[in-house]
Amino acid sequence: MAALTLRGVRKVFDKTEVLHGIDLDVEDGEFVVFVGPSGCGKSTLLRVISGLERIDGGELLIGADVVNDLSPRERGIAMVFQSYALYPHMSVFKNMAFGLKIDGLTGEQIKERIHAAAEKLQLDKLLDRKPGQLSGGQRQRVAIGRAIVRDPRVFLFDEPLSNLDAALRVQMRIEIARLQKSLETTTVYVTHDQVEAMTLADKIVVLNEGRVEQVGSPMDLYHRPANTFVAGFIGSPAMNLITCNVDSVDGPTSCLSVSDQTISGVPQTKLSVGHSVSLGIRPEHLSVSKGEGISFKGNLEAIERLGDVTFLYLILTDGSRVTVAEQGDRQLEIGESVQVYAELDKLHLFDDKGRALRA
Amino acid sequence: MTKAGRFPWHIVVFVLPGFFIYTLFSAWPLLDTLILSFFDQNDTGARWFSGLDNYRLVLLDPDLSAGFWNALWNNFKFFLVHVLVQNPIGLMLAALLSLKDLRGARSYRTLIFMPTLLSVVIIGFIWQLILSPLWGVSETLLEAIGMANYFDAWLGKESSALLTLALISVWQFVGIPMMLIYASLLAIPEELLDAAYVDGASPLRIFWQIKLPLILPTLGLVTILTFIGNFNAFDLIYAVKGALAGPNFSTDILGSFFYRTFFGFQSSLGSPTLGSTVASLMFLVILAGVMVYFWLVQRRLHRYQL
Amino acid sequence: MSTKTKKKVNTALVHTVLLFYTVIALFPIILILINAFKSRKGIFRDPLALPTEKTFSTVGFEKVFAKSDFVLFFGNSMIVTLVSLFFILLFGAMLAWALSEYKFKGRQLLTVFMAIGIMVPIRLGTVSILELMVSLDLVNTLTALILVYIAQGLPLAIFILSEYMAQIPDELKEAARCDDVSEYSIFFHIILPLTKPAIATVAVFTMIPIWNDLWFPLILAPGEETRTLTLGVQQFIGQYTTDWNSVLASLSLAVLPVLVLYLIFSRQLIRGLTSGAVK
Repeated sequence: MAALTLRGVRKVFDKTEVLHGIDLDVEDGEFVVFVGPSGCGKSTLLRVISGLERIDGGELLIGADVVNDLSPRERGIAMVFQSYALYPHMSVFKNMAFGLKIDGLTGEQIKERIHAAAEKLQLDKLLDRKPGQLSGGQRQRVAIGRAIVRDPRVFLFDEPLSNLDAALRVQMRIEIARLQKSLETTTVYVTHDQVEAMTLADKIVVLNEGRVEQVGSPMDLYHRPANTFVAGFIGSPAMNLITCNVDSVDGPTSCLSVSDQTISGVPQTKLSVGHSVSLGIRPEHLSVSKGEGISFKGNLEAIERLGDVTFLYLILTDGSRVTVAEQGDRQLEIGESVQVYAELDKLHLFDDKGRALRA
Repeated sequence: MTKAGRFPWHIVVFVLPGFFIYTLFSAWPLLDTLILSFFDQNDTGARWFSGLDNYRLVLLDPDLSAGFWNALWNNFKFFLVHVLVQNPIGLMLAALLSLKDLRGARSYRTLIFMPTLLSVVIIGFIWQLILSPLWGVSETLLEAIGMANYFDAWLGKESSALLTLALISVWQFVGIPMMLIYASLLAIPEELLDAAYVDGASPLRIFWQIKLPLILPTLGLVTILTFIGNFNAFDLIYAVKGALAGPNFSTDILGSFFYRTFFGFQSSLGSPTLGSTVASLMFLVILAGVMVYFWLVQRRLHRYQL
Repeated sequence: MSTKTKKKVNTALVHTVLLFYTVIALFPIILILINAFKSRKGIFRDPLALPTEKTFSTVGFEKVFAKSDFVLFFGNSMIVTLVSLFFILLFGAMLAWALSEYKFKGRQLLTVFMAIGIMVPIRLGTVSILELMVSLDLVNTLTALILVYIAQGLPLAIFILSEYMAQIPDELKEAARCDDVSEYSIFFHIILPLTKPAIATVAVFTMIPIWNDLWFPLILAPGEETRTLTLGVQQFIGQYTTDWNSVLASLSLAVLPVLVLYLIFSRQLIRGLTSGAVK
């Protein structure tokens, strides 16, 4: 177990820089999730940490040691792959023993460790099977077992649940969380699924185009996104971002206009008249029920009823689209003009470069 | 997919031309050869059924059978050299070529594969010249590494001619196992090798314990293809040594023995029926090899889903 | 040693081995090519040297062209190879299509019947093939060779092509059938164009053994008029064993066209070899 520190880590593929100097501190025993759209560099970053890819710049520390030039084994990491990458010609036992033998453990020690891990993962009865005879969930557990028997300083997971069906994914997600808490091993986990990120992480790292957009706890990212990218990426359906003009600033509140409407009473002090800003409101924070705070109206373009929640798709006169997630069922007609409301403390404002503006 | 009631003529049109040519010029001749091996004929060309007489003659006759057994034994040696030299070299080259991030892999494989494309006849002559004591190229080269004393007219000596020819054949055809193995190595998922590397395995260990077990089925396939090719070989021996497969039949293999039996040589006349018998025996040998492959080898070599 | 230097040493070692084997593979061919352009003295005095002004000579080539009908042989080989290839691809594709698309009685049996030809070398039927050609009066004609080569090439062609055709989505054919397009049009206008990559692979696989074959030309068409290049070179060298200039020149003439073609098409060939063609 050890902390993990990245200082200005760079990676270049064929002269194209894909990681532009990543700085990150992961504390001992922390569960960190890298999340971002495909191609954002999250898997590359994980492979750089693992030692599968060379570092082209910066420093990588595990504990107090710079490990830039060490092999994965010397770094003391263990990794779970997306495809599980189990050795198809070896039994479950041999799959787990492979790395241990290389580490020079005796037969007794190997047996002991494997049986301990197998018990934890309910693999006891499967040790003699070949990977081909296992279900997807079982393979996944073997892959995790192969990683934990190594007793690594850092665990790395590369989208480990993406090959499982939805039900199994939820189950494995809970199992991984439970396991990590009991082992207290520093863990880095890559996923493109924000639900996994939100549920598993102590700390989420949002990556985009080889840069860190924001680092924070799941609730931090949800309530205080640092920019429009994070705002749009975390939360489902995505946060509404409405481009507005600042009409007037009056003490602690300001008026924004979007095409033919004025939204007044937006709490903000840093705005100046004439600037363009993005007003961010999560769909679940908008409601057709009259309430305090701000309001605006739009035309109801489509409606989706899921029973527990109803999604309303509005279009404003300037063409911007707004999604509303309304609890319960609502009787509304398509084409109707609908007034929606949001509480003041649920509003987010971003400047024209997409950075969050905070009061 | 045919409309009810109408005869599907288009299927006949698609099948017939190929089926006709294949049947007439490949399948029927093979069957006819097997049948002919049970017949005898006289100088006028008249033929009659003679049971197993031909087989008795080829396999047991004190005068004739020696040639067959010699050729069969030589053919096994020929095959053995391929299995022991060609396939390991092919495996090694493929293993090196498939290494990650190897620069120039494409050029290497293109160049190494080149001899495989040339005619066996041409290759035979080329090596005959190179190994010729008259020209002395080989001697010069051996001298350069201080081994001039080892030079000999290898192709001309009874003790070394067959081995030399087999090695020439290995030199030419090493590209085939190399390519087949290379392809199956490339098919191993990258993550599997990453996993082994993360587990701390060295490249050599990854090769022996991960890659090799996974490509065993391909090695089996390569071996049976080599077997069929070797027990059907003829061109190289004929080009370098002629139909007599000298010196003193030391390079005689089934292909050249078949040719002589069929067409005759020097004083002895050829015989189509005896030729058929030899061909049928070759067929049996190849069939036995294929059956061993399917029943014993392939069944045990589990093809893992990668 | 640090991991980095160890890696560098390993890489260097790998390249040394590969380079060494590449030299082994190419040296004999290059040796023949350079000596073909030398005088007899040059060939023997310093076989490893490139031709110089002093040793350069094309006397070998002149003799070859004067004493044998090289152009004719080359033409024969071309005709035999190309015509065989055309029919192997055409008939092979037709059969492969029938076997992979239509469910008819005896389909399974026909598939097995054709597959025999992959495992059993056609040479074993030579006795009977020769008698057949004699009775058809085809001995010493290129037609005899072409027919045999078509029969020889079909099984592998069918095997590779039908695997490939089975992967063509059903929707394409169904859509055409709904428009009442004839089965022939579907095959020639939809299926064949889609099968091009596999056809290219088959073409390369079948062409080489035909071009290089010695056995059937020797037995079925040994006459001067119908000799293929491979047989022609074999016979020529048999006659002029001691004339090194001619021997080297004729070998070079046999090697060069293949070499040139290979360098042009090597990428395609190797892709075919390393793709799923052989499973």
